[in-house]
Amino acid sequence: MNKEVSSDRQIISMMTLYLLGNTLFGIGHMAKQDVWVSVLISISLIAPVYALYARIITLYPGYYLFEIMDEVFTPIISRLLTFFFSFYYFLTAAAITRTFSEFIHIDALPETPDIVSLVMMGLVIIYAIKNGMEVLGRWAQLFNYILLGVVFAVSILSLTNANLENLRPLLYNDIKPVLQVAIQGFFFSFGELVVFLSAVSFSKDRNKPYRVYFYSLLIGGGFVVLVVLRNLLVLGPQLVEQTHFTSYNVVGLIRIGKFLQRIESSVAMVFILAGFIKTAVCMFAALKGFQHIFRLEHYRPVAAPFGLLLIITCRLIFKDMMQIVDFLNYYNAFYSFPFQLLLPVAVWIAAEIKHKKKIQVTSATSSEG
Amino acid sequence: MNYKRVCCLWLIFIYLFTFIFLSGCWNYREIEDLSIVTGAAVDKEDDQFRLTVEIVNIEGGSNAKVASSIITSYGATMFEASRNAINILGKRLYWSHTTLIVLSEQIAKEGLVPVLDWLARDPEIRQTLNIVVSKEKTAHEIFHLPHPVFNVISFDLDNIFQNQGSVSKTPDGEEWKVLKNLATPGLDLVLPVALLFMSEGQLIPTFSGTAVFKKDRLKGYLSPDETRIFMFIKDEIKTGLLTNNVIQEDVPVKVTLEIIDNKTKMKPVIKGENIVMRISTITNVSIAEIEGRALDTGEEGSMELAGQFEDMLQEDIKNLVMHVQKEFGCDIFGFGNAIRMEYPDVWKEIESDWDRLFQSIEVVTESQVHIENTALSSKPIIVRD
Amino acid sequence: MFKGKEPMSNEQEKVTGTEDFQSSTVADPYDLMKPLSTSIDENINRMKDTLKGDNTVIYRWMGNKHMDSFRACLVFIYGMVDNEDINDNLVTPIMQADLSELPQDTFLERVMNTIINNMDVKRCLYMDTVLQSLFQGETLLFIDGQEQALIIRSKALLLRQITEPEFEKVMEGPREGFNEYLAVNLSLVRRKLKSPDLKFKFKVLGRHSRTNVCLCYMETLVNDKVLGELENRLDKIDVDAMTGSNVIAENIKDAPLSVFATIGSTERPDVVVSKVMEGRIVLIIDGTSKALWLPFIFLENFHTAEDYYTEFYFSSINRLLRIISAAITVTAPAVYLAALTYHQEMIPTTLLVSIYSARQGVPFPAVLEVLLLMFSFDLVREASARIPSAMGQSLSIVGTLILGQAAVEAKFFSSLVVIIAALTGITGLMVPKLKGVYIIIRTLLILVTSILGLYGFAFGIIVLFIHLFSIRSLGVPYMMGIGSIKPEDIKDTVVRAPWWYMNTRPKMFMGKESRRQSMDSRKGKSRL
Repeated sequence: MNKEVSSDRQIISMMTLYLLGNTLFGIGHMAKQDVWVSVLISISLIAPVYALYARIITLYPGYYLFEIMDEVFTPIISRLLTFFFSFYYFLTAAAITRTFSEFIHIDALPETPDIVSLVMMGLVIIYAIKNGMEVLGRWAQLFNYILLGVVFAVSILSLTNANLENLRPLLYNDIKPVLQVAIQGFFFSFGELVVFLSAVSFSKDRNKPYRVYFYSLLIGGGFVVLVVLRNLLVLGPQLVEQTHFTSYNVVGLIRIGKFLQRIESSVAMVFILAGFIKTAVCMFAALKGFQHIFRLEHYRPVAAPFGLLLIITCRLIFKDMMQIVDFLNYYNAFYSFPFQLLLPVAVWIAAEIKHKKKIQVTSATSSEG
Repeated sequence: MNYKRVCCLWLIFIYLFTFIFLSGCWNYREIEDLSIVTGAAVDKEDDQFRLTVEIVNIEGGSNAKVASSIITSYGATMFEASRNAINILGKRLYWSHTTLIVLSEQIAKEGLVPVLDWLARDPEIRQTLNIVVSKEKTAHEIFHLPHPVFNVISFDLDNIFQNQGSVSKTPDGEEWKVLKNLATPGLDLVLPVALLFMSEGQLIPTFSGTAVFKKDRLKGYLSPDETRIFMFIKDEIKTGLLTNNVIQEDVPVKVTLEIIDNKTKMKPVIKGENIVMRISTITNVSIAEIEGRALDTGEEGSMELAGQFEDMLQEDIKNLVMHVQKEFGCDIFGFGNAIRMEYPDVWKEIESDWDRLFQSIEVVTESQVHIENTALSSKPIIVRD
Repeated sequence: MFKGKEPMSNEQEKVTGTEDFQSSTVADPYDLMKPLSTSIDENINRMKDTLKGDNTVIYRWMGNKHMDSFRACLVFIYGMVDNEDINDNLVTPIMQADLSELPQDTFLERVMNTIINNMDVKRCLYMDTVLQSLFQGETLLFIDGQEQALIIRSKALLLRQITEPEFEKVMEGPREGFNEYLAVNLSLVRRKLKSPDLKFKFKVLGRHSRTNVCLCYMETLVNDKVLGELENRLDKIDVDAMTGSNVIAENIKDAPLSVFATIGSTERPDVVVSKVMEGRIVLIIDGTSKALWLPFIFLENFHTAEDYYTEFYFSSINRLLRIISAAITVTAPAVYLAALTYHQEMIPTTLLVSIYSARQGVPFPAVLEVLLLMFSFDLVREASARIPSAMGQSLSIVGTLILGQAAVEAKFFSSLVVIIAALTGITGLMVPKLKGVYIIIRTLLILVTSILGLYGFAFGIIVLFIHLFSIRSLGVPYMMGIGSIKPEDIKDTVVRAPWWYMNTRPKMFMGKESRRQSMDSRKGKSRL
């Protein structure tokens, strides 16, 4: 397999954008005004998991997750798991695409058939993954600065509408829904970064996986908290619950003077660009997996067919916006659990054992020699 | 050249071109095919909504002048009425630039939800438009044409809202705040009031006072002066005026102060079984006008002056709360919300009974007025004896 | 244009370099590789055969006053040689000198060394080389009984004056620019860089044109891998005639179908020197005044020579202006279109109302209006680039009055779209190198925007940047310096840092010696 090397900064940019793309939705309404607490809890819960991901990569630098599974499991199990993983990534990509096409459909282009925007998106994604992860990484690095800047700027501008009372009283509705939402956030946003294990190869001398995951969590998580807080501060828990695309609504309320208003399109652009990165990374990981299963020379020839498959799949898996929200609210945690937590832990344990053995063998041979 | 690649490029080109030229329009719409709605009035006539919209109209040829015209359409629901306008105009109503929705008193009394839902749901409508209640018999009277000054009534009424800060006699009526108020527990809704008044023999629309709601139903009105005190309590006052008759050597002298800034704190205090609301205001002012002579505006005189204003403010606040408690029984001040913030556990117990409790809640006031400067004059006008 | 012997105003124009062009010859399928014979008649006949139909070739038979058996023939191309030089220094000595005294065994050598009054004379054995020299403007001397011909330098230089390049004018820098003569150009570079590290390496390209191409680089700074790769690519070029630098540029480009140029070009020797000093390779091509340099990065499109000669704040501002102008010229029509036809809620109300009134009665849909106006702007631009300047006035009257004012008054276009077109046009002219790129990208963006509004626009931008990030110039990422906020990456890309700060060469060109100047070069000065 040919490796494409990305720098730490590029991977961090992609991860940050990935997390940012998820803030389009407001989910986790059960926690009402304490969603931001839930996010903080999710962040603290995910930190050890990220450490685990980073540990796996450190044990096998320069390997994709699928290759690591080849090393630590028997071939059949490894292939089976690779298939499941690829399928999971593919469906994730489809779900994201569907979300964004729904967003476009509801928000701005209700009369345009959504196949049009889907085909456009599909073409863009095919083009992007054909160019490979390295190009995507450099793209992300540039747009990361722009998008974070935009999000930060509109958040500052939103302060004129903010009201601190919206956050009070703290933990009014008991801690249970807060924890529930924290678990949701764990799987919906943060856990999805498992995809980078399969999409990016961390090289031994150029990348520091721990650092990458730590900074991504710091910046990406920070921005997620910022966005959630901003939405709560402006709209209050009740209205946040009422809207589908909360951030979009919040920015639409900015009205400073006669001219600085009607800037919610900037947020739409942020989400489209961040959503593009998410889909592209997931698709890339899925294609790498399929390439690995079928031992293909390169994933590029199958990129276009899989891109078209993506367009069809995303219309099949969700009927409408309500289904997406329901899925994220109730089922996503169970669906994602094996891929984000269970299997990585299994791989990690197996890898540690293998690694120990290898050290023993090498030390034994060296002592013999 | 790579044959496959060329084919692929051609396919993409054909795809794009068919999309552009065969698709007709979908969402592509020319700006001149829209009727830009600047404001609307909603009335109810025989179970039907009567939607009166003000739309932008271009008059004249090369020196085009922007004006507005008024269109009326009917429908069983708001959205239907909006779409029925196509039969009159031949164009779709375009709501993104609407700044004002006037509701008739009748609709306000029957409940806002049937109107509000469409306003909140439709992506075209911006949540920053203002919702007002008409004190006149119908809502569409507000768009009384021709207006002696304005070309487009709604835009200029919107300007009144934008500059309300220096008058503080009308509350805020932005749609998203209305929705938020409706959803917040322990807080009742208020909306601005629109009415017509006679000026130089012509009727002119303006805003004045506050409409008080219980849930989404209209209960009554506050006068403009009461509104100002209401804004004081809600800590929404930015600038504005305070006027009082100051007794100076047994002669009342009218003094006007300009508010520089104000900070109001509302704090519930639990005293045994009773809940007492403590409302404390700190107001920085400057002297704007003294309609009399020989008023001491020195160090000591200012203190005394401020003292009299403090008394007035405290009295006004108490009176207003009493008035609202007795007459409407609506918690427009958000006392319940304040209790929820401060004592969530207490609130959980009393929430169901709050409507009754509110009427008997006691208010303690505490006002401070600081005179920061006396503008350009250091003394009242001196008239030689 | 000057002829060699006419009085010259500028000393630089008389160039008598000492370059050796015969070092690398390419095998041809003709029998030209056969050595010359000792019989002068045979040789001359062979030449006449090969050059049949070319009447510019002059054969001048000569004898000698003192030696009757002596027969010689001068061959040269009329117009390419310096007539007086040949008369005085070749014809006269050969005819007048006493050749009979010369020993027969070293006859040719003695003629070369004692008779011919010229600084550069070579002996040559092969027809092929002889012909090449002839076409270079040198004079051939065949002597009966000798199997070698003499090649005598006698070029008359037909060249343009060294003037300031039209498209790269500066206010405060040097005013000299390349002309079409390779030797002159090389000397201009050499004068500015008197280092033994500066290498000029020749290649001959073009099957028939046999054009000399010079690779110019600093041996201690250049990356050998990059140099090798470039030489490889140059060797693969197989064209008939090398008519201009663009033939090379298109043939060695990394992304052959991309609209972006991945090779820089300049007419200024000072630019060449600065590029060479960054470890890059410059190609100077005979017969064209455009030199190419590689690797080239995207942001260099926005650089001008002027930037380095004016004060750094000002040049940084200018660079930013150019970049912003690029963004505006590419996106303005598309964003305007998106706002007007899809996202009317984006437009501030007062503006919307004025557009609304301007659009009343305009027959075209907005997308067609934008496309038509951009098209007519490009018509005017292209027309004005081709016509003589005397007719420019009438063109501008037609362009501005008829297309602009009258079209708006006749409600053919709305006034706002004319403003947008004017803005697009002006900003599009700020970086002339990119004007073709602008047209293509702008039009594509307009098309995708007309399908999906701002979302189509966003997809277009994504694809544009993915493409930009995917191309490389001789292995160096084209978008180097973009997407980074490290000071060492942007010091000479988006802005221009002060000279004392640019201590190291750009990392990407991987020079062997990265230090440009001593780190405390500024400190020494500040102590004063």
